[in-house]
Amino acid sequence: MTLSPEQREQLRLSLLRFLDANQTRYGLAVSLLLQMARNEGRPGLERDQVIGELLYLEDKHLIVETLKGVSPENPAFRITAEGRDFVAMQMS
Amino acid sequence: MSDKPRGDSKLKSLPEERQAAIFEHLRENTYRKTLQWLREDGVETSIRALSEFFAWYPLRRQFLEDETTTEALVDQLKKEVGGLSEEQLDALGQRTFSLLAIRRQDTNAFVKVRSARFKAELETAKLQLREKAEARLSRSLELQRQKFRRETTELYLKWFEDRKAREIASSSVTNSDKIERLGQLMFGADWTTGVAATAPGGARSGKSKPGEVSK
Repeated sequence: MTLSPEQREQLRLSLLRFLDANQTRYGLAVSLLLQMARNEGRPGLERDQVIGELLYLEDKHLIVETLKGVSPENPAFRITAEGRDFVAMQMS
Repeated sequence: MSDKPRGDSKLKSLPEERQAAIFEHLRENTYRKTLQWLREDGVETSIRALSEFFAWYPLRRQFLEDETTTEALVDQLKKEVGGLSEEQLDALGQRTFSLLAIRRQDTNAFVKVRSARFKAELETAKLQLREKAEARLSRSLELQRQKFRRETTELYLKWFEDRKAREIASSSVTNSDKIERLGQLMFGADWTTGVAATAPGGARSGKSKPGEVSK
């Protein structure tokens, strides 16, 4: 599945929305985020595409990887305070 | 950071019971009604913020429930299996939490697919029923037409034997006069002078039965 710039933007917002809803001490795993993004109407979405957007959001300091180094094969992420503010601004 | 007001932050920072009540209200009412309801309670928000809240709240609840289950499992594991480091327990917890959440997402997706398939099947069944009803109606109309043709033919044969009718038919008056006179002869008081015949089968709802020959 090839993503247009607009679709990538929408995917980033979706990932942030999912992460924003998580108020637990655990992060959301890539496999879970991939599944949630697919359930929103992107059936052909691939894991690498999700990882690419997550890395972009991480570079922007909107999300961080949890348990880094403990389970590198199953990366999980949580939203930062900056990320929450960003989501709130997008949704208002 | 921007000073732009955060539309949904107000809702997301309300006490849990209040959030649950808003979610329930949203489930049973429109966004506009909920907006009005909240305004009466002094909470100013927007439809977009309500829509975001409506998607956010059940997901948040789901994650919290999965966390509670995970914590219980990790606690149990801690008691039963000694020697596990905090790091290992965290990793196990993370994995359990992910599995629970993924499983729930799977179920949600399954329910969505099943609902969509059921809806499609229902629509197909409705269409088939409609087609059957149309076919029945079409058959019924054809039967009515055939009945009309047969009755008209029978009527013609009966009136052909009637002397008075034959006299009118073979007279030298105009065609419309012949129709008028034959009509009066055949239908008597039920005949309405000057009204043209319309649909086959009887715009004229005379009391006379088809084929009633005058004596």
